[in-house]
Amino acid sequence: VPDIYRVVSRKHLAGPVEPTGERRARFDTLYAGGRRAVLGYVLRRAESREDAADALAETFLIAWRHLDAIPDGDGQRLWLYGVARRVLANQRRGQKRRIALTQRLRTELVQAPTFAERSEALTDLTDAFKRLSETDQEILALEGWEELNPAQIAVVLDCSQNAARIRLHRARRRLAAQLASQNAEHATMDAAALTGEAT
Amino acid sequence: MNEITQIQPITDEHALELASSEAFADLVELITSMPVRGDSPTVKDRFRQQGVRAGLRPTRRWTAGVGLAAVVIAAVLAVTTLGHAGSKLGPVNLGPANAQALTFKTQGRYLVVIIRNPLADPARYKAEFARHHLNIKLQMIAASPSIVGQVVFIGGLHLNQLKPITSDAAKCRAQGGSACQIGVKVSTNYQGAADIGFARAARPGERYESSGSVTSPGEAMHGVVYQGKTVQSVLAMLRERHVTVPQYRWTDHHYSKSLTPSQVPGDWKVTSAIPWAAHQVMLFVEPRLPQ
Repeated sequence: VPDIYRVVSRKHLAGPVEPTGERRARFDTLYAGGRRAVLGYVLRRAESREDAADALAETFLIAWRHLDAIPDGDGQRLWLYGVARRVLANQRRGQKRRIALTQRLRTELVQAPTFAERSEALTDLTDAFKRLSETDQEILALEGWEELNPAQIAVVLDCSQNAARIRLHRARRRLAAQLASQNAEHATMDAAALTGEAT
Repeated sequence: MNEITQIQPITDEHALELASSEAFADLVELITSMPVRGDSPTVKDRFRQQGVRAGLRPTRRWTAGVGLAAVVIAAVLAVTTLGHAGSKLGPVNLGPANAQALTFKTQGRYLVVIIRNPLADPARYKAEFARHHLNIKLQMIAASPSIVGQVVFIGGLHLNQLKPITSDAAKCRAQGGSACQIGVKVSTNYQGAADIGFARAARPGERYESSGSVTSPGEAMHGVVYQGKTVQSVLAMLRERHVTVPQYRWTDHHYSKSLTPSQVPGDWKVTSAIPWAAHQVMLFVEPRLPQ
């Protein structure tokens, strides 16, 4: 079993592994600055809140192990999004693991209240969005939810800025086409219903 | 921002409220208790297999802006104006409706490609480029005035051999459309495929697909100081300019909602605005008192 999935107990904390103060301080700064963004990111995408808690923990565990590779400034957040994206992709591929690290966070997230349902008016948009490919959904979400610009999206998706711009543009077009085809479908259904009533 | 903002499942701010600071503190203690070195091969392999590598290597970047080599021949796409072919939109008359979408002219070491019909079907541009052995896809994006003539997106391979030329929208307007020169320089041996989106003027009533800042010169609210003012006072200023507001946006308990004009009380505060269509803007609003 990879060690990141090993159950970690309080007792283990007293063990011989003692991170250096400097490294720990750097990680604390990263964690304090990034946890809100990463939690938001994973909660918006994970299938369940348990998965979100696990994805958050795994993302920061990877960050802990690769602290020297993490850029400064806004690059930190983008780096974390990139890792979280791949962690969630692995979850979706069925590689779900429960990480003992997250027991408390998971319990709290699961017990927190759910939110009011969104208005009916947005149902069509939600449906259209869900019918898009995962790639299209992700790029639109990075723009609309994380409020990233194409240059930042390029960092998260590890592609060129130009590619990000095009992908974004195409995803927008496909979303518009999806909405248009749904509208046409509704119109047909309405017409059929009216005809049905008339007869 | 795009319309997906409206269906954001949860904001970062609200997400953070779901868990206690104790839970986060717990997690950081546990993570930092994990060994940094001596990762088992399984973990490393897993990294490689699953591609958990964002940020671990430099992002590829197109080296745009590389100067043109001596062998480069440029194709200049010049857009004279934008509108219905055979009609008049803005300051300049357009060619006949059946005019070809592009015209190609050799000029010294350059190939000058003029866009005769900025509203042509993108497939038509592509076909005309193909006849000149260029694999270039061109799209004209309906845009707000301040970014007309600018590149909205550009993509493809070997883009250092292809350089877009953009227009200065203000100059373009001031000179009645004659300065709306936009284009792209292409190497003769350019083998790659390119996909270029230019911002074009929107048709009357057409919704912008891309927009500049609402207060930029040429935009509906140029010079208007509106942030923090009430909806009714902003509407009064807009009425003088014959600008209307078809839609509003409000972030209600972390959800961004769109509202119709009748749903927005006049004493709400305007926080931001974006160009929507010609003589139309969308306003971001919030209730006067904190919720």
